[in-house]
Amino acid sequence: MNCDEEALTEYLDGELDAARKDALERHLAACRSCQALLGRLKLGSAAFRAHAFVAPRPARAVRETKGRELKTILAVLAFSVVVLILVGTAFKPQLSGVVNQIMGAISGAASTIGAGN
Amino acid sequence: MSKLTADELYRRTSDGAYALALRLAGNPADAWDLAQDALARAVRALPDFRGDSDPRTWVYRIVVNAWKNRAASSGERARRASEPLDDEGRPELAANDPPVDAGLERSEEARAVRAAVAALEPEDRACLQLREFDGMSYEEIAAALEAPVGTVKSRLHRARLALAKALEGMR
Repeated sequence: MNCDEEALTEYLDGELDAARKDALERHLAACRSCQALLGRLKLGSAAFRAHAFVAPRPARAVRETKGRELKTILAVLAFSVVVLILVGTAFKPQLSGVVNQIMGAISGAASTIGAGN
Repeated sequence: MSKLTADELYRRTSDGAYALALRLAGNPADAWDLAQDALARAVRALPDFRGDSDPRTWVYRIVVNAWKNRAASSGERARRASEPLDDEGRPELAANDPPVDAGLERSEEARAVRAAVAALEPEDRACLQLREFDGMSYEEIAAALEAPVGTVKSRLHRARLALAKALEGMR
């Protein structure tokens, strides 16, 4: 047979039937040019396998777990806000007293500083 | 044959659909969108899937058609994807990998190969992906890409020689 470059690709991929495979192997044994070309095709194939690997996407289970975690965090945050509002409402009188005391202390301090001048 | 469930379809095809989308789109963000879109279409069309063919071939064909539609509408297909796949695709370590002191040489080699892969026609990259990582036959690849078997063979031949040339240029 004559040189058939693309048949070497088929050979590499195991796509040749037995008769064509035999004929190609006989040709290969005598043809240095085809031997070299087959070597280059193998190199290209190996290079792709070694350096063009694509990492799989995160598994759906992982993404779902992350989604559940986010929902939990949001639920805890919402609960905390509700508790804070309830506590604030329940202790409003006492809180008002504390705020008034602080305001009084600030006013007193300001008067003292003003008198000093 | 029992009907394929959406869960089973996703488990068997999602990683491959994403890898193929990455080869076609050329960058992870578009690949993600493309794969999601194709998988959603596949799940919607699942009741019509006969189940007598490999679901990968079916889903991959949906990926390819979705890519063609997008490319046709955006004119993107005319330009070649130029972004290398960089950190998205790290090689798996093999038992016979060279020792660590060969790391520099190896990383230069990796960069050269990834640049050469990025410079390939998207369909050539897709053929290599389906052959080298999915182990598909020429007929299966032809069915997935809706291309003649002879075209698949030519694309594989051309792509491998391009990658070999990139490596030979370093030596």
